[in-house]
Amino acid sequence: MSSSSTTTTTTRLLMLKASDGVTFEVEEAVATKLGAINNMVEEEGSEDLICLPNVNGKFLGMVLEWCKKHANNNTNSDKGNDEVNKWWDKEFVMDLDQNTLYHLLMAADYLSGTELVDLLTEKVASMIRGKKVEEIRETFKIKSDFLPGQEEEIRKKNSWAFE
Amino acid sequence: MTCLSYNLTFYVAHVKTVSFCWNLSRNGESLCHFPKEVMMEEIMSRVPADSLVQFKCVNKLWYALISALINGPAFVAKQLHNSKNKSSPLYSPSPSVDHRLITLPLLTLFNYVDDNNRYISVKEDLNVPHLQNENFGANWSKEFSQNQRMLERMRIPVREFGYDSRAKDYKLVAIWRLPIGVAKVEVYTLRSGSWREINISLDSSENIKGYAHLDGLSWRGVCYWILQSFSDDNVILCFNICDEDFHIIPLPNLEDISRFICVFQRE
Repeated sequence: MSSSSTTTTTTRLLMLKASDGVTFEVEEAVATKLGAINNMVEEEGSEDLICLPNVNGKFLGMVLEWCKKHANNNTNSDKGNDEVNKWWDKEFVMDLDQNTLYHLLMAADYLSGTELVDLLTEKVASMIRGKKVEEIRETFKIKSDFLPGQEEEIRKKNSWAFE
Repeated sequence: MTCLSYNLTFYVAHVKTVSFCWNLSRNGESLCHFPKEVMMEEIMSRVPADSLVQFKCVNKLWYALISALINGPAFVAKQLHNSKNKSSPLYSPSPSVDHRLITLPLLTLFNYVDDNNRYISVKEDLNVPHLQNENFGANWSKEFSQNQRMLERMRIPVREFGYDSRAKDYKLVAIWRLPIGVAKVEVYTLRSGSWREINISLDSSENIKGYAHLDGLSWRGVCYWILQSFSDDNVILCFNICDEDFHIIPLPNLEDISRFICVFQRE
């Protein structure tokens, strides 16, 4: 911190440009939480401007918010950090609606944010885990397209799961 | 019934060949967008086995997707791993989950007697051969073909089913008691899709033969049977699914007490 020149040489800033033209200026250490960005940055002579035509600005912003939090928390080598991250992750996914969750998951997958994908798939799983068939249909607005009798047959064949 | 099988087979083929539809509900905009196939696999691997099997009833697409997934050893291994791993911050086990399913993942194999009083095997999730298959134990059947009654009895071997967590494969073990006083054991693995005979020690063979009835269960990679004898002490016969070998657990003599084998589940 004593010398400003040190800070500027170690902290590279990247410009990430979303599909809708929105740009984000982020520290390299934050953006490289995403595998896809990390690969691009590691290439020699890589530019600081990275275009991401498959991600909308809204969701890229959210992904980067997650990256920032995790990059910051990881710099402290505190024991309680894991707990902080977990708590923060829980808050992050708590009120996501289905639409946002879907696009966020797509963005995280596209950017190879493995940890974030894990978090989001777990969130989706938690939405369906332990639910009844009717509740799944209700939640995701799915209509049954079985012919009469087919569903009963599947239930009968798998009766152990419905006990 | 044939109609159903045909349709569902078609849908399974459909899911495998065509890249998975991005929206499982397919009607309207405000609906859930379910992610692409790879991610569906990731999500479904975090759902307990009984829920997964129930979800086959949601619609044809879910049926096809889940049926295809749970026939894949890699998915089953992942599901098993996830169901054991409770460190996830969002994990909250439902009290209704039957923990048996953790060790018997995605298993549907049971027998019942149909109208003609024949034993039939019901398969749904896993492609396990029907036990009434003519080829099953065919070599030994030939050997004793002159004895029709013996042959009929042999068609219903003692069998148990389990998951080999090391090889990440399902195995079906069948014990045949032959009239010449020996026992033979065959193992079917889901991945190979075939039967093979395994060698068993003389001791195990001694223990198996001569018992009229064997009742068993499969738990955490080991199959157990109570061997009920009219004269000697009873024993529990164990078969390790990974190692494919037998062990004996002695039991005290419990005359006149009906006995069965079960798993006592502690939370």
